[in-house]
Amino acid sequence: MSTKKPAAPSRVARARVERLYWRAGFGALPGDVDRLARLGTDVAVRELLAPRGPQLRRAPAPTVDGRPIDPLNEYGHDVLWWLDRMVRGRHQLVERMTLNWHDHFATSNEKVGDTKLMLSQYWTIRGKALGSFRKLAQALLRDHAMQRFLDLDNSDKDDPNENFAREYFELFTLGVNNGYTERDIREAARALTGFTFDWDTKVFDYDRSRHDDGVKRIFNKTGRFTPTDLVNMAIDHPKHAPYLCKKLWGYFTSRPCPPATLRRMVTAYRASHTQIRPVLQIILTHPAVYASLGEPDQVKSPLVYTAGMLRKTNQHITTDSWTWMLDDMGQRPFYPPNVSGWEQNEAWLTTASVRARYQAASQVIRDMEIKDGSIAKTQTPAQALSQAIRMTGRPWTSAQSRAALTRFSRSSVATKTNDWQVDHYWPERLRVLCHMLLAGPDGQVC
Amino acid sequence: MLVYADEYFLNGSRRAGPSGLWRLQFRNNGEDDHDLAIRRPNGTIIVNSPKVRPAGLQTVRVRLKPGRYILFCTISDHELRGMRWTLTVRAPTLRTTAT
Repeated sequence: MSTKKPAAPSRVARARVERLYWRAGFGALPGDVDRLARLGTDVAVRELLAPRGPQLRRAPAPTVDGRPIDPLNEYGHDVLWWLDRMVRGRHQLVERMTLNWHDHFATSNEKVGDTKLMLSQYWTIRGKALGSFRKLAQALLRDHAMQRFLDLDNSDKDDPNENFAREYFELFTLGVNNGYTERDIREAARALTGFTFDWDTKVFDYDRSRHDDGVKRIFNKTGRFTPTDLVNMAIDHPKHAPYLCKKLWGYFTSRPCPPATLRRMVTAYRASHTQIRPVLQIILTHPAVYASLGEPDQVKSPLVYTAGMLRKTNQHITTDSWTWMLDDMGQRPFYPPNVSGWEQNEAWLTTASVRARYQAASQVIRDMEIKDGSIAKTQTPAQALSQAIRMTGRPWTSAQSRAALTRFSRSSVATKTNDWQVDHYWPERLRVLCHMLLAGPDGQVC
Repeated sequence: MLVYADEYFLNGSRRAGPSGLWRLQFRNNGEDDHDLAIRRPNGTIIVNSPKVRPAGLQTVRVRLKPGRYILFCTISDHELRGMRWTLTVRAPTLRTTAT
């Protein structure tokens, strides 16, 4: 039996896996990169699309002040709860798509005012994140957080509310002014009437007597359409598949979608009866996702950035500071800014949000507990940088940054040779190197 | 316990719990100022938070004996318009602090 160690994967193979997991998840765990790099990204994509086993890794559950979090009864713990699922989640694409759908079908607890309903919506989306879009849309039509957010609860035949109908066409299925008219929206609102919510008992229901069962005309079709019909009609609209496929493409790459690829995605989506998996397979194996590995061109969202740092440094959630820091960075799950969701890519970076990212990296470094007196005097500048790179999960670093960090590694301790200086400044050098790797410009992109 | 306020409803994360020390977090999701008060079954108000501005968060700590309490907003006619929540506190248990 051979005991030969498998050959180390190439740098490009590792970089492709890293790219895939940043775009389709929240960063690859350091231990997984080499294994997946040997198998190749096609296999890695297959694993992402069909995950097996427990949803969460064996790692400490989130705590605050040493106590388990309580997402229903403590303000801000809902955010920690979801962040933890990103950090400990083994089904990375499922978690990432759940976040993408939360952005697409944006619903905010700012208006819903009920964390239980928001967590319930999370599970609804998660269960269908890679499956049939039709089933997902039908489930969200009946989702109580969504009904409350877009005023579908208590939309009555005598006073139909147009909010859900408008957003359903404009954002969820067709795109702005893409194949529907104002009259279609008004008629759709009639079709969607009948859902009820009792403020005293907090019970959601559907009351046929409050549904407008008259004849409606939508997309040049006439009938006594129900809410279920309306959801299906938009999904069957010829403009729906290209809109949705293009939107999905945009979650994984900021490069324009080639027309031939869009046609391939649309064909796969329709042939599979609105399944998401075949579309994701096309996107995640497309060269555009792996373009310019040496010069990443997508800005990590605050959640990807934060969960990624925690994953790469093998940390877990022990403080509620993450809730406030994510808020300051501009992305608090369960609280999208409006029904359009979050603006992506460069929009994440403002003077205020970059400062918050810097603070988030400081929190990670603090929890790494690099203690004074823990570094030997014999450590060379190159060794210090290598250690920092290892401790931060081998993040992508440009040649320019590496040169600057090398210079810093040399100069920062050049005159610090007394024992007490070695005790303090050498660990400090390591802390700063780790911090710059996580919070510097390279750490923001993937 | 977490209580969300908006025009014009209160929504608590619990309907019932054990007697003892309670910590209530009151979050104003609305566009107007609101507050949180707790009324005993006999009508006595046992705690009343300061006014909380939109997007504000206020924590109220109160010891509750077994009984039925009304959580409500004291401002103007907000309670009449629907800003109330019923909380039932049960007999003492080993756990003394509810959140």
